[in-house]
Amino acid sequence: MSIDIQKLADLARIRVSDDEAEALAGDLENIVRFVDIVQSRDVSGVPTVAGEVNVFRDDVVAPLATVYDLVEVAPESQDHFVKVPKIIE
Amino acid sequence: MIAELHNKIANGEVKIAALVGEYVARARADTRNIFREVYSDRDIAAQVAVAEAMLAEGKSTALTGIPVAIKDNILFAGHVAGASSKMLEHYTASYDSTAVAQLRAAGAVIIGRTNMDEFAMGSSTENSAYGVTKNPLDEMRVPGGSSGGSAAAVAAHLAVVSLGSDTGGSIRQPAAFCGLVGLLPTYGTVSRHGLIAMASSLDVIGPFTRTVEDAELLYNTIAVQDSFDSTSVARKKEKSILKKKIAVPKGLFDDGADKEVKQKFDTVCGKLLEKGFVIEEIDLSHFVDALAVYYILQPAEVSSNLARLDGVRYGDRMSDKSVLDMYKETRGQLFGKEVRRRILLGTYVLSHGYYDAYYNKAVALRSLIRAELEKAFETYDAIITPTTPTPAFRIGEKAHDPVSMYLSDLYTVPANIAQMPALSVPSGKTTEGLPLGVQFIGPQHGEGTLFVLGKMVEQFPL
Repeated sequence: MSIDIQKLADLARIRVSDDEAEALAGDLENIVRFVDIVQSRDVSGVPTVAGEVNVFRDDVVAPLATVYDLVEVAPESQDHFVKVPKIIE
Repeated sequence: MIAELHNKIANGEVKIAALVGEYVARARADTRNIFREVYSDRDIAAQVAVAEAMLAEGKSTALTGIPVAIKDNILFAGHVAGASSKMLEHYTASYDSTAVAQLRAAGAVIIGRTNMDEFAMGSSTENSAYGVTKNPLDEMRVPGGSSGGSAAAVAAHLAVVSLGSDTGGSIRQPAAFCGLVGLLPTYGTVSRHGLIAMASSLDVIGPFTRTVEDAELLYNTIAVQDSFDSTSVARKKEKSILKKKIAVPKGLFDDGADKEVKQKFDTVCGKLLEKGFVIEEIDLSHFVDALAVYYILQPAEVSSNLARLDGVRYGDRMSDKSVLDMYKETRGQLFGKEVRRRILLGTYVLSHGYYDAYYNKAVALRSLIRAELEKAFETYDAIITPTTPTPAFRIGEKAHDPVSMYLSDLYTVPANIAQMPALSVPSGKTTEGLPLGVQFIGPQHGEGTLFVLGKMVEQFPL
C-alpha cells in the first residue's frame, strides 16, 4: 500500500512539506491497516444509510446573531462584507 | 455536592461571590495548564450579580451561583472559543451554544474555558496547540482527552463541575483518568448548536462531576430539544425498572487490558452480584469492530466539517496571494499535526475508489453494531466494561504512535457509534494510586437506569 499524500493534501487544500508527507504516509498506512478489518466483515444486505429520517421545521425567521456580528469574526472584512483575494483574473 | 452547596447558598451560609471567588483564585493560580482562559473579574462579577439577583428574587435553581468550566469548543457569546487550535485563537463566539444558554438561565457562573486536544482530536490533551494539561492526581501523567482540561478543572477543585464533549470517549476517558463521573448522553438529547463540530453524527456535550447525582442534575439542565440542531431529539423519560441483569461483552480483555483494570472491574462485578444482579458474558461480535468503524466515519466527518476553516469566515488567514494559496497556507500552518492527519485520512476514505470499501462498509457495520446492542438491551439493563484499558498514561508515552493512542478509546467508542448513553463512574485506584473507572452503556434514553447503577457503584467500598 502506498498513499499519495500530496494528492490528498491537494484535495484537502492543506500545504504539506515533502518531509512531512513521508511521515504522514507511514502514519496513514498504519491507520488504514488497522481499519482494514472492516473489509473482512460481511455486510451484504445491510443498508449503507443508517436509517435516519428527515426532520423539518417551519420556515420562520428567528433571531440569532446579526449578519454584522458574523462578518465581524471573519479574518478580513470591509463594509460588512467578507474580503477574499481576487478570484477572477 | 451541588445540592449541599445549593442549600448553603440558599440559607445564606455561603455567599455566591465568596464561593466563586475561591474557585476563580485557585483557577488563576493553577500551573497545570488546565484553563485556556479564566474570564476577567469584571465578566465573572457580572455573572455573579445575575446569580445573586436570582437568589434574592427567589428564582434560584440548584446551579445558581455554582462555578462551572466549559471546554474550549463550546460557544459562549462574546468569549473566545478556540478549540485549542491556532486556527481559532482569535475567534470570538457571536452567540451562546444551547448548553451554555441553559447553564446561564439556571444561574450558573461560567468561570473559564478549558484546554483540550485540538478540535477534540486526541485522548490526552497532548494535541492542544498550547501544550498538554497535567493530571492533577499525578502531574507526570495526562488527564486524558480530548476534554482533559474540563476533567482536570473539576479534579483540581478549580470548578465544581464542567462541560466537555464526547465523540469517541472524550468525556468518559478523562473522567476515569481523573477519578470523576463522566456522562455521554444519548445522541441528540443535548443540542450541538454552538459546539464546534468535529464528527457531527458522534458529537455529544456532557458533564464532568464528582457524583452521579450531580451528573444527573447537569444533564437535566442542558438536555433540551432545540430547533437550531436538526438532530436534536426530545428526551424520553422512562421510569427505570431494573431487570437486574447486566451483560459483559465476551473477549473484553483479549487485547491485553492492564491487570489492575481487570481486577477492579471484577471487584465491581462481584459487588453487583452481591446486590442480586445477574451478570452474563454475551457474544457481541461487532463490539470490537466499533473502533475500526470509528476511525473511518470520524475522520470522514472531520474532513468535511473542518473544510469551513479556510481563512475566509473564522479565525486567521495566512496568505492573500490567491484563493488557493490562502486555503492551503492557512490550513497547512494553523492546523496541528493530528488534525491534518485526520483530515487527510478522511479525504482518503471518502475519495473515489475507496468510498465503498471504507465509508459505506463502516456505515453498514454501524447499523449492525447498533442492532446488536439494541437486541442485548431487550434482556439486560446495561453493558458493563472498564472505561479504559489502562490508567492514565505518562505524558509523551503514546504521543508518537497514533494507533496505540486510538486504542485507549477501545471501550468507549461503541456507545458513540450506536448513539447510546454511557456513564463512567470511579472504580477505585491502582496500587500506584491512579484512579480507574467502570462504564455502563445503556439503550437510547436509558440514562435513568445508568444513574441508578452509577449511584450503586458509588456506594461500593472500592
